[in-house]
Amino acid sequence: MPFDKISDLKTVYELHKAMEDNQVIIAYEGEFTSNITQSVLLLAEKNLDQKLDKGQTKRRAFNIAVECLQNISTHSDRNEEFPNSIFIIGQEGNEFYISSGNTIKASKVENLQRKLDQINNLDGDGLKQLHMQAIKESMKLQESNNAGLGLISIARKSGKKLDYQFVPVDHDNSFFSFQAKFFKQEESL
Amino acid sequence: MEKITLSGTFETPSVVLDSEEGKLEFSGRSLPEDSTSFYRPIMSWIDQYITNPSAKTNIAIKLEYFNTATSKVLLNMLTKFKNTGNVTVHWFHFDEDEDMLESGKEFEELVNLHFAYHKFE
Repeated sequence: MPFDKISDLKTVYELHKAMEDNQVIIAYEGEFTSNITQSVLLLAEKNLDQKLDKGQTKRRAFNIAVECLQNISTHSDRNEEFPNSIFIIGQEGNEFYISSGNTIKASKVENLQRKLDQINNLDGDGLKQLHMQAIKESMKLQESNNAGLGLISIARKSGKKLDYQFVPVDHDNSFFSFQAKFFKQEESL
Repeated sequence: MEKITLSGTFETPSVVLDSEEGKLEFSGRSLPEDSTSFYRPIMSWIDQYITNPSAKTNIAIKLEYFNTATSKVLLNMLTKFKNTGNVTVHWFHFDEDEDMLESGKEFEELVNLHFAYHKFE
Protein backbone atom coordinates (compact mmCIF):
# COMPACT_ATOMS: atom_id res chain seq x y z
CA MET A 1 0.00 0.00 0.00
CA PRO A 2 1.34 3.42 -0.91
CA PHE A 3 -0.53 5.00 2.01
CA ASP A 4 -0.11 4.24 5.67
CA LYS A 5 -3.24 5.92 6.92
CA ILE A 6 -5.94 7.44 4.77
CA SER A 7 -7.02 9.56 7.77
CA ASP A 8 -3.71 11.46 7.76
CA LEU A 9 -4.33 14.86 6.22
CA LYS A 10 -1.28 14.65 3.95
CA THR A 11 -2.75 11.46 2.51
CA VAL A 12 -5.54 13.48 0.92
CA TYR A 13 -3.01 15.14 -1.36
CA GLU A 14 -1.09 11.91 -1.95
CA LEU A 15 -4.26 10.06 -2.84
CA HIS A 16 -5.36 12.89 -5.12
CA LYS A 17 -1.94 12.92 -6.79
CA ALA A 18 -1.84 9.14 -7.22
CA MET A 19 -5.29 9.12 -8.80
CA GLU A 20 -4.40 11.99 -11.07
CA ASP A 21 -1.09 10.42 -12.13
CA ASN A 22 -2.90 7.17 -12.86
CA GLN A 23 -5.61 8.99 -14.84
CA VAL A 24 -8.44 7.63 -12.74
CA ILE A 25 -11.73 8.69 -14.32
CA ILE A 26 -13.96 7.49 -11.52
CA ALA A 27 -13.43 5.38 -8.42
CA TYR A 28 -16.08 4.35 -5.92
CA GLU A 29 -15.68 2.17 -2.85
CA GLY A 30 -18.65 1.29 -0.66
CA GLU A 31 -22.02 -0.35 -0.72
CA PHE A 32 -23.71 -0.97 -4.06
CA THR A 33 -27.45 -0.62 -3.64
CA SER A 34 -29.61 -0.09 -6.75
CA ASN A 35 -29.73 3.65 -6.10
CA ILE A 36 -26.00 3.94 -5.62
CA THR A 37 -25.27 1.81 -8.68
CA GLN A 38 -27.42 4.18 -10.73
CA SER A 39 -25.66 7.25 -9.32
CA VAL A 40 -22.22 5.79 -10.00
CA LEU A 41 -23.31 4.99 -13.54
CA LEU A 42 -24.57 8.53 -14.03
CA LEU A 43 -21.23 9.94 -12.89
CA ALA A 44 -19.31 7.39 -14.96
CA GLU A 45 -21.22 8.42 -18.08
CA LYS A 46 -20.63 12.15 -17.52
CA ASN A 47 -16.90 11.52 -17.11
CA LEU A 48 -16.72 9.16 -20.10
CA ASP A 49 -18.51 11.73 -22.25
CA GLN A 50 -15.78 14.22 -21.41
CA LYS A 51 -12.97 11.79 -22.21
CA LEU A 52 -14.36 10.02 -25.22
CA ASP A 53 -16.80 12.20 -27.14
CA LYS A 54 -19.95 10.44 -28.25
CA GLY A 55 -18.95 7.58 -30.46
CA GLN A 56 -18.40 3.87 -30.60
CA THR A 57 -15.67 3.79 -27.92
CA LYS A 58 -17.87 5.67 -25.46
CA ARG A 59 -20.80 3.40 -26.22
CA ARG A 60 -18.68 0.30 -25.65
CA ALA A 61 -17.17 1.78 -22.48
CA PHE A 62 -20.58 2.66 -21.11
CA ASN A 63 -21.94 -0.81 -21.93
CA ILE A 64 -19.02 -2.43 -20.11
CA ALA A 65 -19.53 -0.10 -17.13
CA VAL A 66 -23.24 -1.02 -16.95
CA GLU A 67 -22.55 -4.76 -16.97
CA CYS A 68 -19.68 -4.49 -14.45
CA LEU A 69 -21.78 -2.45 -12.02
CA GLN A 70 -24.80 -4.71 -12.38
CA ASN A 71 -22.58 -7.78 -11.92
CA ILE A 72 -21.43 -6.30 -8.62
CA SER A 73 -24.91 -5.54 -7.37
CA THR A 74 -26.42 -8.81 -8.59
CA HIS A 75 -23.67 -11.31 -7.85
CA SER A 76 -21.63 -10.08 -4.90
CA ASP A 77 -22.29 -11.86 -1.65
CA ARG A 78 -22.43 -8.93 0.73
CA ASN A 79 -22.62 -9.58 4.42
CA GLU A 80 -21.97 -7.64 7.61
CA GLU A 81 -18.32 -8.43 7.57
CA PHE A 82 -17.80 -7.64 3.86
CA PRO A 83 -20.44 -5.06 2.87
CA ASN A 84 -18.36 -3.11 0.34
CA SER A 85 -17.28 -3.43 -3.26
CA ILE A 86 -15.08 -1.27 -5.49
CA PHE A 87 -15.45 0.08 -9.02
CA ILE A 88 -12.81 1.99 -11.01
CA ILE A 89 -12.56 3.42 -14.52
CA GLY A 90 -9.16 4.68 -15.59
CA GLN A 91 -6.91 5.34 -18.51
CA GLU A 92 -3.35 4.39 -19.44
CA GLY A 93 -2.39 6.22 -22.62
CA ASN A 94 -4.82 5.07 -25.31
CA GLU A 95 -6.01 2.15 -23.25
CA PHE A 96 -8.95 2.36 -20.88
CA TYR A 97 -9.73 -0.08 -18.11
CA ILE A 98 -12.78 -0.79 -16.01
CA SER A 99 -12.12 -2.70 -12.81
CA SER A 100 -14.39 -4.08 -10.16
CA GLY A 101 -13.89 -5.95 -6.92
CA ASN A 102 -16.42 -7.66 -4.72
CA THR A 103 -16.71 -10.48 -2.23
CA ILE A 104 -18.26 -13.75 -3.33
CA LYS A 105 -18.79 -17.07 -1.59
CA ALA A 106 -15.77 -19.35 -1.93
CA SER A 107 -18.11 -22.07 -3.20
CA LYS A 108 -18.84 -19.98 -6.33
CA VAL A 109 -15.22 -19.41 -7.31
CA GLU A 110 -14.73 -22.59 -9.32
CA ASN A 111 -17.82 -22.06 -11.46
CA LEU A 112 -17.05 -18.39 -12.13
CA GLN A 113 -13.45 -19.19 -12.99
CA ARG A 114 -14.61 -21.85 -15.45
CA LYS A 115 -16.93 -19.32 -17.15
CA LEU A 116 -14.17 -16.70 -17.39
CA ASP A 117 -11.66 -19.19 -18.80
CA GLN A 118 -14.21 -20.44 -21.32
CA ILE A 119 -14.79 -16.84 -22.48
CA ASN A 120 -11.06 -16.08 -22.64
CA ASN A 121 -10.43 -19.13 -24.83
CA LEU A 122 -12.80 -17.94 -27.55
CA ASP A 123 -12.29 -15.57 -30.47
CA GLY A 124 -14.94 -13.11 -31.73
CA ASP A 125 -16.95 -15.75 -33.61
CA GLY A 126 -16.76 -18.15 -30.71
CA LEU A 127 -18.04 -15.44 -28.36
CA LYS A 128 -20.91 -14.73 -30.70
CA GLN A 129 -21.91 -18.40 -30.68
CA LEU A 130 -21.59 -18.56 -26.89
CA HIS A 131 -23.71 -15.42 -26.58
CA MET A 132 -26.47 -16.88 -28.78
CA GLN A 133 -26.43 -20.09 -26.75
CA ALA A 134 -26.40 -18.23 -23.41
CA ILE A 135 -29.27 -15.92 -24.30
CA LYS A 136 -31.44 -18.89 -25.31
CA GLU A 137 -30.53 -20.66 -22.07
CA SER A 138 -31.15 -17.54 -19.99
CA MET A 139 -34.80 -17.49 -21.06
CA LYS A 140 -35.32 -20.75 -19.20
CA LEU A 141 -33.46 -19.63 -16.08
CA GLN A 142 -34.51 -17.62 -13.06
CA GLU A 143 -34.62 -13.86 -13.24
CA SER A 144 -31.27 -13.07 -11.68
CA ASN A 145 -29.41 -15.83 -13.48
CA ASN A 146 -28.21 -14.79 -16.90
CA ALA A 147 -25.91 -17.71 -17.71
CA GLY A 148 -22.91 -15.38 -17.77
CA LEU A 149 -24.46 -13.12 -20.43
CA GLY A 150 -22.98 -10.03 -18.77
CA LEU A 151 -19.43 -11.39 -18.85
CA ILE A 152 -19.78 -12.53 -22.46
CA SER A 153 -21.08 -9.10 -23.43
CA ILE A 154 -18.18 -7.39 -21.64
CA ALA A 155 -15.67 -9.62 -23.46
CA ARG A 156 -17.25 -8.82 -26.83
CA LYS A 157 -17.26 -5.06 -26.22
CA SER A 158 -13.72 -5.09 -24.85
CA GLY A 159 -12.17 -7.21 -27.60
CA LYS A 160 -9.46 -8.27 -25.14
CA LYS A 161 -8.98 -11.04 -22.61
CA LEU A 162 -10.70 -10.49 -19.28
CA ASP A 163 -8.31 -10.23 -16.33
CA TYR A 164 -9.34 -11.61 -13.02
CA GLN A 165 -8.04 -12.76 -9.67
CA PHE A 166 -9.51 -14.42 -6.60
CA VAL A 167 -8.09 -13.63 -3.16
CA PRO A 168 -9.42 -15.76 -0.29
CA VAL A 169 -10.46 -13.44 2.55
CA ASP A 170 -11.54 -16.14 5.00
CA HIS A 171 -12.64 -19.74 4.95
CA ASP A 172 -15.97 -19.07 3.23
CA ASN A 173 -15.35 -15.95 1.13
CA SER A 174 -13.16 -14.81 -1.69
CA PHE A 175 -12.51 -11.36 -3.14
CA PHE A 176 -13.08 -11.31 -6.90
CA SER A 177 -11.04 -8.69 -8.76
CA PHE A 178 -12.02 -8.20 -12.38
CA GLN A 179 -10.78 -5.98 -15.19
CA ALA A 180 -11.86 -5.31 -18.76
CA LYS A 181 -9.64 -3.23 -21.04
CA PHE A 182 -10.35 -1.52 -24.32
CA PHE A 183 -8.58 0.78 -26.73
CA LYS A 184 -9.84 4.17 -27.69
CA GLN A 185 -10.74 3.85 -31.36
CA GLU A 186 -10.08 6.59 -33.82
CA GLU A 187 -13.58 7.63 -34.80
CA SER A 188 -13.72 7.32 -38.54
CA LEU A 189 -16.94 9.24 -38.95
CA MET B 1 -57.11 -1.83 -25.67
CA GLU B 2 -55.59 0.95 -23.66
CA LYS B 3 -52.77 2.86 -25.27
CA ILE B 4 -49.63 2.90 -23.10
CA THR B 5 -47.13 5.76 -23.20
CA LEU B 6 -44.11 5.90 -20.90
CA SER B 7 -41.49 8.65 -20.76
CA GLY B 8 -37.87 7.56 -20.75
CA THR B 9 -35.48 7.94 -17.82
CA PHE B 10 -31.72 7.54 -17.36
CA GLU B 11 -32.17 3.76 -17.30
CA THR B 12 -35.51 3.06 -18.90
CA PRO B 13 -36.81 3.60 -22.44
CA SER B 14 -39.67 5.72 -23.75
CA VAL B 15 -42.41 3.31 -24.67
CA VAL B 16 -45.46 3.63 -26.92
CA LEU B 17 -47.88 0.71 -27.23
CA ASP B 18 -50.78 1.46 -29.57
CA SER B 19 -53.04 -1.44 -30.53
CA GLU B 20 -55.15 0.53 -33.02
CA GLU B 21 -52.11 1.45 -35.08
CA GLY B 22 -50.39 -1.87 -34.38
CA LYS B 23 -47.39 0.08 -33.18
CA LEU B 24 -44.92 -0.78 -30.44
CA GLU B 25 -41.99 1.57 -29.98
CA PHE B 26 -39.05 1.53 -27.56
CA SER B 27 -36.57 4.37 -27.69
CA GLY B 28 -33.65 5.76 -25.70
CA ARG B 29 -31.97 3.33 -23.37
CA SER B 30 -32.94 0.24 -21.46
CA LEU B 31 -30.61 -0.49 -18.56
CA PRO B 32 -32.79 -1.56 -15.63
CA GLU B 33 -31.11 -4.08 -13.38
CA ASP B 34 -34.49 -5.64 -12.73
CA SER B 35 -35.65 -5.70 -16.35
CA THR B 36 -38.35 -8.26 -15.64
CA SER B 37 -40.24 -5.90 -13.30
CA PHE B 38 -39.97 -2.96 -15.68
CA TYR B 39 -41.24 -4.96 -18.66
CA ARG B 40 -43.93 -6.94 -16.80
CA PRO B 41 -46.84 -4.56 -17.67
CA ILE B 42 -45.55 -4.32 -21.26
CA MET B 43 -45.48 -8.12 -21.57
CA SER B 44 -49.05 -8.31 -20.23
CA TRP B 45 -50.15 -5.73 -22.79
CA ILE B 46 -48.50 -7.79 -25.56
CA ASP B 47 -50.10 -11.02 -24.33
CA GLN B 48 -53.46 -9.35 -24.73
CA TYR B 49 -52.56 -7.65 -28.04
CA ILE B 50 -51.58 -10.89 -29.82
CA THR B 51 -55.00 -12.39 -29.13
CA ASN B 52 -56.49 -9.75 -31.45
CA PRO B 53 -53.66 -8.03 -33.33
CA SER B 54 -53.90 -5.22 -35.86
CA ALA B 55 -53.65 -6.17 -39.58
CA LYS B 56 -50.03 -5.02 -39.48
CA THR B 57 -47.73 -4.84 -36.47
CA ASN B 58 -44.66 -2.60 -36.48
CA ILE B 59 -42.21 -2.99 -33.61
CA ALA B 60 -39.62 -0.22 -33.51
CA ILE B 61 -36.48 -0.77 -31.42
CA LYS B 62 -34.78 2.63 -31.30
CA LEU B 63 -32.35 2.02 -28.46
CA GLU B 64 -28.90 3.49 -28.13
CA TYR B 65 -28.11 1.24 -25.16
CA PHE B 66 -29.55 -1.89 -23.67
CA ASN B 67 -28.10 -4.14 -20.98
CA THR B 68 -27.97 -7.93 -21.06
CA ALA B 69 -30.91 -8.10 -18.64
CA THR B 70 -32.93 -6.26 -21.29
CA SER B 71 -31.70 -8.46 -24.15
CA LYS B 72 -33.18 -11.46 -22.38
CA VAL B 73 -36.56 -9.70 -22.02
CA LEU B 74 -36.40 -8.46 -25.61
CA LEU B 75 -35.93 -11.99 -26.90
CA ASN B 76 -38.89 -13.13 -24.80
CA MET B 77 -40.97 -10.26 -26.12
CA LEU B 78 -40.20 -10.82 -29.81
CA THR B 79 -40.77 -14.56 -29.44
CA LYS B 80 -44.36 -13.80 -28.39
CA PHE B 81 -45.08 -12.64 -31.96
CA LYS B 82 -44.01 -15.87 -33.68
CA ASN B 83 -47.62 -16.77 -34.56
CA THR B 84 -48.79 -13.24 -35.36
CA GLY B 85 -49.06 -12.39 -39.06
CA ASN B 86 -47.54 -9.32 -40.74
CA VAL B 87 -45.00 -8.32 -38.10
CA THR B 88 -42.00 -6.14 -38.92
CA VAL B 89 -39.25 -5.33 -36.44
CA HIS B 90 -37.69 -1.96 -37.23
CA TRP B 91 -34.21 -2.05 -35.77
CA PHE B 92 -32.50 1.34 -35.46
CA HIS B 93 -28.81 2.04 -35.00
CA PHE B 94 -26.42 4.95 -35.26
CA ASP B 95 -24.48 5.03 -38.50
CA GLU B 96 -21.18 3.93 -36.98
CA ASP B 97 -22.67 1.67 -34.30
CA GLU B 98 -21.82 -1.71 -35.79
CA ASP B 99 -22.42 -3.42 -32.42
CA MET B 100 -26.08 -2.38 -32.38
CA LEU B 101 -26.50 -3.47 -36.00
CA GLU B 102 -24.97 -6.86 -35.14
CA SER B 103 -27.29 -7.21 -32.13
CA GLY B 104 -30.21 -6.73 -34.49
CA LYS B 105 -28.91 -9.44 -36.81
CA GLU B 106 -28.52 -11.77 -33.84
CA PHE B 107 -32.10 -11.20 -32.71
CA GLU B 108 -33.23 -11.75 -36.29
CA GLU B 109 -31.43 -15.10 -36.24
CA LEU B 110 -33.03 -16.04 -32.92
CA VAL B 111 -36.64 -15.14 -33.71
CA ASN B 112 -38.49 -15.93 -36.88
CA LEU B 113 -39.64 -12.39 -37.75
CA HIS B 114 -39.04 -9.92 -40.55
CA PHE B 115 -36.44 -7.27 -39.65
CA ALA B 116 -35.87 -3.89 -41.35
CA TYR B 117 -32.75 -1.91 -40.47
CA HIS B 118 -32.71 1.85 -40.19
CA LYS B 119 -30.11 4.44 -39.30
CA PHE B 120 -30.90 7.20 -36.84
CA GLU B 121 -31.09 10.51 -38.65
